[in-house]
Amino acid sequence: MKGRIFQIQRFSIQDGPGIRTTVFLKGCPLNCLWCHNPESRSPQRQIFFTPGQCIGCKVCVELCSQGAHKIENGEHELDREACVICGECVTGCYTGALEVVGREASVEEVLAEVLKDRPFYETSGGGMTLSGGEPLAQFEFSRAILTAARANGLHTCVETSGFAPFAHLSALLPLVDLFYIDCKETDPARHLEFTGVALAPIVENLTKLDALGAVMALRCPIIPGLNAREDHFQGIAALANRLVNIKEIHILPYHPLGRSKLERLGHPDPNPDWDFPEKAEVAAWVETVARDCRVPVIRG
Amino acid sequence: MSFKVWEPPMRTEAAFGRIIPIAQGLTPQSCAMKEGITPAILSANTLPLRLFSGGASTMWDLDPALATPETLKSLVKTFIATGGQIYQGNTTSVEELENALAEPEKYPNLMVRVGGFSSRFVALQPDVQREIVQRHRHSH
Repeated sequence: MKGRIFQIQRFSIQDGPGIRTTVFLKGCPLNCLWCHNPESRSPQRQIFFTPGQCIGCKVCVELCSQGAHKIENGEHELDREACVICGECVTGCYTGALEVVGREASVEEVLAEVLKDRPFYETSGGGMTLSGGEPLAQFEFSRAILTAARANGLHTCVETSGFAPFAHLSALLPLVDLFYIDCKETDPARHLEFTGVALAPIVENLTKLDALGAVMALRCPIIPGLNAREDHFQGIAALANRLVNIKEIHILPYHPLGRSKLERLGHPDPNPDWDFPEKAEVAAWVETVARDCRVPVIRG
Repeated sequence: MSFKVWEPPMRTEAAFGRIIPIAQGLTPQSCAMKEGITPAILSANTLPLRLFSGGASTMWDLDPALATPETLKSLVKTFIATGGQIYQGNTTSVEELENALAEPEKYPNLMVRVGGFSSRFVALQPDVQREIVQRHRHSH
């Protein structure tokens, strides 16, 4: 069994308890306006091009069978329409200005990498986390990795938008110690506007998972000007109060760190003016959600 | 009785006579640590460390945001469990060190771990200061 991943990150300490290895699966059905992993959206391989690293050696021009690379007067242009993402140019790129994002990986290969840091999981209470992209978008692959991780006695965590067939979520339940589930927007119309998908099926999945006893934390990206609103903060608290198995709420303030990735993908930045929120502002969000909430609210 | 801890020189003459700073003790060169601190520790500890007289010294600088007591505890425990001998590190940020280089008079008390000893940062030789700034701060 193979799936498509774009990164395996060791020493992850923000994707669940302890020291973990996070496997990032490529492809996501959502289209969030603030996405900080733009390379995770498409299930296909993509080319990262970092102009600042290009030395104009023209090896890519020679290697490309499609004529997609042009270097004139020191300016390197990549015609992404013509590019078929064969990756030939990357093999000859001396400085790493060109990279392929995304690769096919087998369950065995992923697990071998994850098991390398087992000595650290044992001393920290860590384990493996599946993230993305949306891990549920590659349900069979995710299930196979989780089964293998469990067979090796690892603690498992899944980061998901919750936007998936419930049968898939419930099939993973026996294999997952902790679900990190996004709560991006609690107003249905705005949820559709901000993420491109409906809110109702996600809330329904959360409710059903809760009834089955899934241990969950809510992950709430907060974006000034979009969902940093009093009614949304109350909505988050109300959801956590209604569902008995939500153990924690994580407030995740917007950050513009995905911006350089958009550039490397050749995508225009839709929000060039967005910036880090002030610390005091973030503290106020945490406090507002915590005010009416029965579970701990932390800045994640 | 005195022990000699094995440490290579701070600098080396590379090809063409260019002087470059090199890593402390058995710590991997910072540019080689592309996958984080855990693979670097496991890799360094695959060496036959018992053969080093007086012990093999390593430096592991962490981004201050990651240096929680729980994380450090786990790193040190696994470091020892996998055969490591001398674990040293800094959790100062690059920004703070750069500020101290620019305005040393404001940082008379900033302590850093150099190798087998600690020192006030502003009192160190420029070469050594540069090496500490360039050390890999494991972060995500």
